[in-house]
Amino acid sequence: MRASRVVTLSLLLVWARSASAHVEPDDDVDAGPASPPVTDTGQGSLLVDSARPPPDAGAVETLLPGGETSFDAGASLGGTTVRATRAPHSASEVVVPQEVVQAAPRSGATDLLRLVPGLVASQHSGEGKAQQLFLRGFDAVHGQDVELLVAGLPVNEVSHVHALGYADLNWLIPDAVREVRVTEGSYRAFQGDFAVAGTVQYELGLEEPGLTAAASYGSFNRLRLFAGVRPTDAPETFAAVEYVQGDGFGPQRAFGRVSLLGQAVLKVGPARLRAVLGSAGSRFDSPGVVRQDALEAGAGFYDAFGLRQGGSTSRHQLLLGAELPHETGRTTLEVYGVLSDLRLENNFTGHLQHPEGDGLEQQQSDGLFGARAHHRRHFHALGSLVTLELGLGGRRDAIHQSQRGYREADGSPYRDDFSAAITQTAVNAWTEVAWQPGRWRFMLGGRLDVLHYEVKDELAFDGQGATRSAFGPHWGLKAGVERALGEAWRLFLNYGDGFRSPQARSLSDGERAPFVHVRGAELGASFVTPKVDVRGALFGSYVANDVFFDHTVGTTVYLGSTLRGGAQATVSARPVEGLVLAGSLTGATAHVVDSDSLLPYFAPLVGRLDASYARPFSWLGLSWTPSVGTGLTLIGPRPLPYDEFSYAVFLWDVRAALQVGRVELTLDVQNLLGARWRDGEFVFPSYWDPPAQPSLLPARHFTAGTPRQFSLTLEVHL
Amino acid sequence: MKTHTRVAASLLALLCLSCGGTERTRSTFPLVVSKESGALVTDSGWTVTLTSATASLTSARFFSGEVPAISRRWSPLDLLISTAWAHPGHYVPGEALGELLTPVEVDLLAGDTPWGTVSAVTGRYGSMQLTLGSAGLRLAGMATKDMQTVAFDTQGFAPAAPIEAIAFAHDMDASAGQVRLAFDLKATVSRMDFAQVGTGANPLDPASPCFNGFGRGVQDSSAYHATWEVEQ
Repeated sequence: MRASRVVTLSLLLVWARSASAHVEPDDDVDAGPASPPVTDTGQGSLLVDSARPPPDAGAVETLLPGGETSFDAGASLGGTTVRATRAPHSASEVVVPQEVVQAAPRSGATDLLRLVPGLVASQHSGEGKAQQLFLRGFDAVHGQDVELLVAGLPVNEVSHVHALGYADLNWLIPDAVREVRVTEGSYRAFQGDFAVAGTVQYELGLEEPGLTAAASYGSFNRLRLFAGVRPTDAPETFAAVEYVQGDGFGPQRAFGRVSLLGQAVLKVGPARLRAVLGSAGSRFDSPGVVRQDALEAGAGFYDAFGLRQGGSTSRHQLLLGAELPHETGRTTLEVYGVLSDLRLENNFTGHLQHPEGDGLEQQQSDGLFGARAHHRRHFHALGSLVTLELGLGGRRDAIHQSQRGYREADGSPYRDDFSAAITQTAVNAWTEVAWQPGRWRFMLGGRLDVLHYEVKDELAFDGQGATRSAFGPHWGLKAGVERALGEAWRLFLNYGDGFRSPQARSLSDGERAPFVHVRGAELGASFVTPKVDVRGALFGSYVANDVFFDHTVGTTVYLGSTLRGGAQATVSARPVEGLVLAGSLTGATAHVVDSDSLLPYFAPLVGRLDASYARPFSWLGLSWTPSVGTGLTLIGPRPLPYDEFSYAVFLWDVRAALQVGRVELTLDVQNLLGARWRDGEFVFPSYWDPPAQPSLLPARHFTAGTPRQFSLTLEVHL
Repeated sequence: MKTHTRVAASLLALLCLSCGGTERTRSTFPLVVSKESGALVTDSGWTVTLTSATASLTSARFFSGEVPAISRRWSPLDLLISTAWAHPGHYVPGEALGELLTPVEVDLLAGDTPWGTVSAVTGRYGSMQLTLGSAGLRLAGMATKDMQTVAFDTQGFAPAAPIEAIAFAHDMDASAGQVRLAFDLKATVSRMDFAQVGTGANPLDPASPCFNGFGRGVQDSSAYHATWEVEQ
């Protein structure tokens, strides 16, 4: 019975992908206990029309021992290929497909991050610095609590000079995002360092086969040029380049960046080989922050405070992988390397600390090399299917970082704060076993991470330098229970331990690397039919020794134990042909246990709705495809220190496009209502008007959000 | 629509936050300046009678850092092993918790003088910092000892740096009250020896040992008493 359902799933899955789909041996035919006939169960993803006849599936499926079905890695069906995605093991695992990614205007990484249910992304220092992230009650700063990967390449940078887990996604080309896989919480064993609030994986691929060239021009002199190529018969293979420049919507906001990204997938016999390549560079100015009292005294909403702020980045990356299927599963081997550089100049406090100015120039260079292996197999135990996953991984980061103060008047350096060379090594091993008796699935997993640090403080002992090293393991338990109720309902109960690695410079010699350890649990449910996918979850997490890093002033606050909780609902639907809806609403709270007080800055309420409608037709011998799309973002007031709250944010983006034959014209409007909104709000002391007496009390500051922006894009498909 | 959406978002967010507030809040409280009562007798035996006492105050700030204090009782062992005072201080101001940046001129003989309202945040207060304006502290009057009377006028003296580490240990919350800053002029004049006034006492020779003693008294943080007074 169960086997026949999996076969049905396979058939429907093949049909659903129709002409543009392709096959990937995976991973994950394991679609859960008594799965309903739906695949890619993320938001708005493949909702199968079961009324349509399935194709001949004989070419694409093989029977596993015991009658379970798997996909033939090399299978094709008249040019049709099929990819099965990792089955969700919690209610908070969702996949955002490309049609939702493209539904609303996506001008960059901030918009790509907003696709993640419940996540708030704030770009408070110009179009080039990593976004500040808020998810599930966590203020992840620049990535310390959200693990980000692009096509298997890690984005978070360990022991970063600016913020722990610094995750710069600005090089990611929105057009090249095939789907976004979101695993909120830390309930899966594959989730590694920084997966405290969750893991976000961007998978790559161009939507249109052939050559695509596009040029956009819009408000504030923003120019974007894009070119991409994708072979028709290799949907995952592509190369794309993007060039963007603009003056920005106020002083000190000019920027420019270029990004090259490519992926090649090649089948050699049963093996599937994959290579990902990318190079990117950017230069950006930053306006700093505006004091609220200065605004009230007449300063402009979009003014800049502090001269010569901004930075530059570069990133070069390569991943080589081989996927080797075997009779009962597959093994994947990957090696990867990332070279990244950042120079950042910030002054958020004016002349508060130093009469010359508090400007900080931070530099970071990281050479990362890593490898991972993933083995997955199916077998039977006690008459039921068992799925076993094993993972091994390791990475080495060779980091050089420094910080020095510069004078506000002329930008000249006058003070060295630190300079350090760091070698950070991380090795992990994990396993996950899922047993599926009847309508139940029981999952048990564990993960071991061991970190090794070697730090050379280059300024110690009058420049002679001093070295120190630290070492420490972290053990994590993962567990889950899943129960299918009928064809549409599933219930999930999950537990997981997550961790965040420490900043190397904070460690003393011989110290056992003190991980920030999070224990999380979630109770959720999903309701999935061919036309709608609804998920809901109650979640909670406990951190025993939490730290809050106020990166605006560079101080770390030790909070003790903290408790977070909340609820999340996501919905995706295709109620009528051509209409795609994807929405989410997340409520969260975060408390310091000892004082029972709210943590500052987290996002207590986040809502997002993406919708698009496209209706192709033929006229005058041409194919016409008009489409409209919209994206709504709602962020409730965030608690700030001293019982203050930020302003609520409501943004409405719209997109209208018309494709005629091979030519497409798209009008994007972001912030249609022209809201004057605060992208970031902070409370700390600053001093910008010497020689007046400085106020040392914390004051409200903000960074202005993007005003209404228009952009017109001409795209040609050849 | 924008307004309605924001109101709805605010209400929903407040539901999420209904379990409490952040640990600390903003606060304000009045600051009153006065002087301690009592006879003014210097260490060298002069009895001082003031006819004028004015202070030019620029700012008052409150910090979390507590002032180091020795509270241990005297022990006979101290005769054998005395306390080591290797260097002064160990005071660290810590976090700024309150400030009053409005300059004021105070007549210390006129009784309580309201200085203004301190902008503050709640929390554990440990100390206060006082900045004197250019006119500083000025005392005038008569000093008497052994049938000898000296009329003096210190002229204004203001230390170059703020007077730090004025003890003020208090758990500040939102309850009503005020801070009283009392000048302990006995401590201020205690080091003054009116037998050593240099070229003269009225005005007091700034190069004289007597003026030097006055200057050190002005800079002595124990010459200022900050206390919290609950509103009755």
